[in-house]
This record gives sequence, C-alpha cells and structure tokens, in this order.
Amino acid sequence: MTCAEFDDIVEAIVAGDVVESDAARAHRAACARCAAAFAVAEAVERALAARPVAAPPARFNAMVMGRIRSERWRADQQVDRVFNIAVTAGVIGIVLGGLALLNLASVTTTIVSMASMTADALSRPPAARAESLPMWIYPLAGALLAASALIWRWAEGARQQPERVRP
Amino acid sequence: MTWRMTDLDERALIERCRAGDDDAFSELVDRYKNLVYAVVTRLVADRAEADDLAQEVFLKVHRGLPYFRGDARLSTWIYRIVSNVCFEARGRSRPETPLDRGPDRPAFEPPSIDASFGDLELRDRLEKAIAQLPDRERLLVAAHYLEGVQYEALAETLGIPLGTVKTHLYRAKRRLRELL
Repeated sequence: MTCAEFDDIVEAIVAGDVVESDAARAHRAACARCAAAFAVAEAVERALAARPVAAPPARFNAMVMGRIRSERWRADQQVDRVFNIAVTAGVIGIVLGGLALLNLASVTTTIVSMASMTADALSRPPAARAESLPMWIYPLAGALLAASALIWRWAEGARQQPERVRP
Repeated sequence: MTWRMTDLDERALIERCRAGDDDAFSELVDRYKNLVYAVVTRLVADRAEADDLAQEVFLKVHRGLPYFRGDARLSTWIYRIVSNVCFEARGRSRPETPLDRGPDRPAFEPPSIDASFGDLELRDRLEKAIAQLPDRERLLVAAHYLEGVQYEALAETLGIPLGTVKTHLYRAKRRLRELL
C-alpha cells in the first residue's frame, strides 16, 4: 500500500465505515507519516464527535411564536388597509352611481343648498343654531351612522373569515 | 436525544399547523428546536446571530408549511431551510478568520502528556478549520455528529446519493486534518 492510498481511506477507517485491512495496518506500522496522519484523523474524529451541542434558550418557543404573531399582525394590517380602501372606493362608487341615476343637476343643487344652510347655521350663535336645524337632519344622521356601523361589521366579518387558513 | 417522529404524528401535526393551530406549531417548534439550534450554532459562531437565525428558520417553516407537499420528511425539509438560512446569512456577513498556519505555528500533534490542554487546542483549531470548509461540507460536519442524524437524512436533504455524502464527509475531514 502507498501513502496516497492510505490517505484516501484513513477517514473511513477511523469513522468505522471501513475495516482496516492487514495491508493498511502494515503500512501504518512501517510509515511514520501515515501513522501520524492516522493519529490526527482519530483526534479529529473524536473532537468532532465531542463538539458541544448548544441548547436553545428557555424562551425560544415564546420568541418564535411572538415573531409569528407580529408577522401575522402586520399581514392583517396590510389586508385591513387594502380592504378599507376597497370598501371606501366601493361606497363612493355606489353613492356616485346613485347620484348619477337621479337627476344629477338637482342633486348637486340640493348638496350646494344644504352646504350653504349648514354654513349659515354654523355662523349663528349656538342657541339660534339649535332652533334653525330642520327635524329631518336627526333621522338622516342616525341612518348614516347605522349604515356605517353595518358596513364596518360586514367588513370585519369578511376579514376574519379567511384568517384561519392564511399561512 | 433523538428528533424523529412517526409519519402519522408528523402528518397530523402538519395538518393542525396548516389549519392555523398555534399550539400545534408551538409543538412543532418544541420537537425540532434542539436539532435546528444545534446545527445553526455549529454553522454560525456568533450566539446572538444564531438565536436570530434559528427563529428565522421557524418563521420560514411557518410560512412554507401550506406549500409543504410531504414528499420528504419534515426534518429533511427543515434541514434544507436551516442550510439556506445559514448560508444566506454567511453570504451577507464578513468572511471567517482564516486559520493561522504561518511558519511560526506548528502543525497539530495529537495530545500525549497534557491531554486536556491538547484537547482545548485541538477544539480551537478545529473550529477555525471548520469555518474554512465549503458550505456543503460545513453543513455535513455540523449535522452528521448530532445524535439521531443519519447519512440517509443528509443525503435526502442535500439531494445527493448516500455514497456521495460519505465521500464529502471524508473529504471534509481530510481537509480538516490537513488544516490542523
């Protein structure tokens, strides 16, 4: 056996994957260089097997789950933003569509006159302002609030539904 | 300490994780954190960075589980993620300090009289030598010497035949022997 041949199998021998042949053993006994290589290979094998195994910190699970939750929260925020923009755009579209279906000119006139009425009412003292507000403004405000609450509830429900399966 | 799960356990756990069960995912972290942490700390010397990367591995597992087809074992898939995360991080960081083999430093001689000092010196030189191995060989050396990790798992992880895994390991150890 030559030194090069011994060099090729020394790691397999010390790992126990190959049984050292008589020829290899005889070569090692006769060759100081290969005997030293064998000793170093054995030392490397032992040191690799004895490398310390680090244990994760005690709060490792909590840290991972915390990062997952914060990542999920960020993703939810993103979905919320997109959804809110979509809902707002939808509502504006519906309102504008409704306005267009009605007589646009008269609706515009009504909006302008309502705006001027509001500006007029706001410019008066508070006592006079209460008297001057027409009665229909209260049910209208209530209906608007109720509609907003309903849209919000629906949007929240739609947002939470796919959350269980979202990665 | 072994990290193997039965196929049935594994499938059930994956399904629960996919259904959005946080407790199930925490259980998965519990089962694999020792394996992941051990390999990561052997690949990345800085402990704070290793902590961060080990967590990053589980974030990637969480993100990827819906796409995990189950062709390979979960542990094999996690190994792949560990190697990707660590080698990406290594690519971003500065190169490792080379092992000093200048003319003043003699080659390592196995300990004879003062064994404990020799072991310490060997360990120090070995760590520096391992840092100079190519990525694939470093992963093999890091993972092979963990209890419960078989040649077969490494072959599956790296997508190479069993014989090639052994050849790479022998080559890595020969390189270490020459570097010491």
